[in-house]
Amino acid sequence: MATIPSVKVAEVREFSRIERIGTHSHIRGLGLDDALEPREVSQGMVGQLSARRAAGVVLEMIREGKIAGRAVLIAGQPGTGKTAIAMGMAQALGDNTPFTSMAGSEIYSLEMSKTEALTQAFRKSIGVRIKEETEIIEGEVVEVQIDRPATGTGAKVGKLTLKTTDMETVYDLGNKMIESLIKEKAQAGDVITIDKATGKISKLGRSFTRARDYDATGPQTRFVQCPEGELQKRKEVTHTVTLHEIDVINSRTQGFLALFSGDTGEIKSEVRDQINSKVGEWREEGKAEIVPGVLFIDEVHMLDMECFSFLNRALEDDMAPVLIMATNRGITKIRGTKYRSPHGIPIDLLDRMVIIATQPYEEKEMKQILKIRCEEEDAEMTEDALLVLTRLSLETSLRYAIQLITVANLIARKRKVMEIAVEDIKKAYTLFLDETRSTQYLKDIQDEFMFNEEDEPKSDIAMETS
Amino acid sequence: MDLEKTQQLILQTEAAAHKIFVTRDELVALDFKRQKTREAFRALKNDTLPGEKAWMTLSIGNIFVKTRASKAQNLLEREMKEIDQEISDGRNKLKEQVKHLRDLEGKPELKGFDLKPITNEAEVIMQALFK
Repeated sequence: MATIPSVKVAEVREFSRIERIGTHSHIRGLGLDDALEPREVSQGMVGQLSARRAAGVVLEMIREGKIAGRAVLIAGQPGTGKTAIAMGMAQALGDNTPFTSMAGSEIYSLEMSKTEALTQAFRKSIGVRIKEETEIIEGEVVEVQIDRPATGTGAKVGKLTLKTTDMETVYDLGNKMIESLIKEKAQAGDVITIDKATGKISKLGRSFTRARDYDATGPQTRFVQCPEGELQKRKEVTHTVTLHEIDVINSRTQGFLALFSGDTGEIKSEVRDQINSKVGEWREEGKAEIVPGVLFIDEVHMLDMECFSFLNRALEDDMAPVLIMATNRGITKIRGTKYRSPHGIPIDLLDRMVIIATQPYEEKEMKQILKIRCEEEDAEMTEDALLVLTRLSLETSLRYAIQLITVANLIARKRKVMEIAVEDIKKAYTLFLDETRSTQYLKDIQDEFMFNEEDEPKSDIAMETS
Repeated sequence: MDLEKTQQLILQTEAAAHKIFVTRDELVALDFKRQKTREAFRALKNDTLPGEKAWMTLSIGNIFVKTRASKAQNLLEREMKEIDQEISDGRNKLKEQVKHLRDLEGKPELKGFDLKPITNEAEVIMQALFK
């Protein structure tokens, strides 16, 4: 018996999307029910019931397009889930409402002025819904007839018979159409669409009824149903683009390629004005809808006085998005001034906002969050270990505890165990210092460090000499 | 009382849905007519000599009339325009009906449903964005 040599067929590669695990990658929404009541643990959110409910109300208003040009401030201590709530809002809004997320310090760039960066962020958060409409002919090819002239050169003529489940018709073909039919290799039994305006032919697949025509077909052959109804259809597609995208395309200097390179530079205000009036015109004519989106500025206390006054002005514009800000500061100096103000935000701007407060997590909630994070990082943990970690997070911080999960998971793997035990967490705890222990350590042995400033009365001198 | 109201609502919804089916069938029939008219027009244009006479039916019934080919062509051309108009009217009607049905069913309005398309310059933008 002859052995058949195993022939290796070209490997079918599978691409799986690799997603990095981020701090908030476990959040899929705000975790509210239909009546906007927060569920204790849902969609990756834990606790913060009143804050989530408040966010849900804001979200509902955004969805209905009722509010624009409003500002919401999420305030709370570090590690109480401010960014998580904003992320949850973004997830719950879906793809059709623009959501821009930026950190307060992102506006400080050498290439762009602060106001330009802010304006761009604002315009990224306003969507324009536009419809595109095309007439297409869609049907199953019954027959293709091509007459070649006897001389071999010159124009070809032909006939194409198309059918749907309801009708059948014959089209006369010109030279161009014949060429594109040949190029697409359309033959009887294929389901094709022809764009009426451009004459572009695209093959959708083969009709199911013709599935038995050949004994062997390639793996790429797709089988589709014979289309129903009319042959000549109208296809409508709505797109949501942001004002910023339209800006970039129309700013003459670079053209739309700048969209992909990301380097847009400054956009002239005349261009913006033109686009505003054009979009306004479209809206009047019923050609476009404005979709006010959401701009989220994290660490908003990093903005300075000029930015705040710009925000004040920008919120009054009739095409302003909903502005959501987050800060973890209490009463502190407004950046760039010597005045103190709550959250580091000037009082006049603060007056325009509604404020959502987040509370520190309780032990039970901490445990739940740690559990969710374990799942997110594919780490298994014993009940005891989880308890120890929860206690740790109470003593140190939630972020520190979350970071320990990854480390402890690696240590457990090294021991060749699948589950993280208490000893792994202990090991991780001794390997990496948390903030309080680090401070303590520094206080204990500070004399041995360089440039120790503790006994000097003023730090200015050291700054100047260094 | 409440039962009666519910019944009424269901009846209305069913009727609205039925209307949509009717309009859709009408559209299919119209498109059929459009394709056949176009075929006839092409046939007259390609296969007849100038001045030749051709048989054609009148749209009112099964009466055959022999007319000059050029005159028949003109008639068909006019009919094609009418059909095109009727189809676009039908499509607009369909939209209204779908909107009405969704309203009765308590579903939210379709987003971007009754926008008008933008031509030319915007198309360039769209193509650049979605390629």
